[in-house]
Amino acid sequence: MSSSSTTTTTTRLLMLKASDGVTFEVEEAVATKLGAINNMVEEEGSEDLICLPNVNGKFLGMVLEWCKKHANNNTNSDKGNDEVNKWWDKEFVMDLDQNTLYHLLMAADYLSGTELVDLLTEKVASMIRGKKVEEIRETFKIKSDFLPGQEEEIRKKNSWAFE
Amino acid sequence: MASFADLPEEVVVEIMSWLPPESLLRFICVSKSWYVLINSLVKNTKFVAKHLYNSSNKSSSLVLMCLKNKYSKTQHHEILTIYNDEDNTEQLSYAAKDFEPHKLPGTKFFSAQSHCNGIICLISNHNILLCNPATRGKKFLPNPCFHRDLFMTIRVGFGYDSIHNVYKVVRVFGFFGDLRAEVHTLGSDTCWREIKMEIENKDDYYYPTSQQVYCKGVYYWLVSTKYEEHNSNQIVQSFDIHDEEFHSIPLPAHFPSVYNTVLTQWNESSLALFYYPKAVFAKVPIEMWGMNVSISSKVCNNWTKHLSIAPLEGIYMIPMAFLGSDHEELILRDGSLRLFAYNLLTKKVRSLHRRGAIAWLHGFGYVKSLVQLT
Repeated sequence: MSSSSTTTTTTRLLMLKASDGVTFEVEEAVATKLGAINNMVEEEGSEDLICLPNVNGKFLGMVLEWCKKHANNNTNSDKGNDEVNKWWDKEFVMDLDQNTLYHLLMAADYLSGTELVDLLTEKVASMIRGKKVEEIRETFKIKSDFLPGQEEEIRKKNSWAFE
Repeated sequence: MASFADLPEEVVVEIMSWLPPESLLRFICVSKSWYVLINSLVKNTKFVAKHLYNSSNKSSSLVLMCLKNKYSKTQHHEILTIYNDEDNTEQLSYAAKDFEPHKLPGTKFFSAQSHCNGIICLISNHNILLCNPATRGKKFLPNPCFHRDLFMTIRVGFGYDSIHNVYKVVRVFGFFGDLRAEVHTLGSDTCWREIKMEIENKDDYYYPTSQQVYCKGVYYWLVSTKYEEHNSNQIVQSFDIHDEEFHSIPLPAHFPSVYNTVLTQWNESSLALFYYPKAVFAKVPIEMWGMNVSISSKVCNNWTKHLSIAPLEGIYMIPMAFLGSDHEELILRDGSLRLFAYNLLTKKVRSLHRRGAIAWLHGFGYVKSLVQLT
């Protein structure tokens, strides 16, 4: 019986194995916050070891940390817990560098963690909201591939959006 | 190292669904692939709906109508985007943008009353203009059937019928001492069609009001009946956009006559009704009632008293609209037309320093969207 669990029923433990061989032992209720794992558990039933060849241990660990917080805080759903979740989410994304952010996003997307994808995509959006085109290119390392004159033409058509 | 280029397209689309329309439309010239992607997204109704859902939960804007000075005859519209910077406890930061949808010869001004899914309905006598300020989309409606001067427009409502996935405009007009109504459906009607208007005591519903709101498939107007200084009787009249039926909703019983009334949207599925004291009774608290309209919209009349707001720092204030995702911050204006945000939970007041003097102010909450006018 794990110490953090307050329910009386025995919680099933799953083993998740990342691409680099690192394994995580997590409660079923935590891991099934991820749609992909929820599907595997429902389909395969008895299998306790799940291999995730597309996710590296470091980022799987972070994704599971997020799941754990949300699974624990969701057990009794009142407004106070909503606040705790929100505060915790804010802390979670606050100091992520771009490399970590994209790795996490790809992991969350691969594992169908819809709520986590929402949180992370909103974080990326907040980095570019209201910015200039040149700043977007710089932030995301994107090169303009328009032919000379093409970009000016597009700008002219939507000039108000560039004010 | 992972970079933005490694993200699958579905994730990039998710990121774009969180961007304000102006940013998104500006980013079409980041690169060729962004140009193609964004241009297809803004035409994709599923994406537009998701974007609207995300914006409704996040963005905070107000549409303000003001007169620049007492002698100015032209109304001035402005869109105020307020940034929710929770760390700044004293002041609200914002960006203001003039909003000039169109100038028509012969019309003094277009008056905006409310919005639905980011589309603002503007009225100038018989001329009705719909516009989406965030995408610069606009559409003039055909002349109503009864558009001569005899048939005065009493009120107009604009809303979304989610069952048939259409937008409709309803116009209530005076017809030789009687009230009649006509409806225009966007995209399918080429003109207007008259509908039955079955309400009791039509004579009582002549007095127009600026208090109106769309919420969950129904349009609501606060209307005054028997307009007398000490016996002003008000009700909420509703129009179901899908059924095309009118209903009357009485206000909560026993409200003192020293109050004025404001009707606004509270959250996704509730209306808020405020009674605020007249200036001479500035020490009286502001009272707020809420009504959940998601429970069968037919005839609901379940106002519940939500709270009283004691006079804030001794300043006389008038409620205007709710702000932001939590619907916990209420925008109020004071006698000098300064704006404040009052947090219903923490009871903290933040101020919004707005440059430029104005003489009159009316406003409502607004959500920027990519909804197209077809």
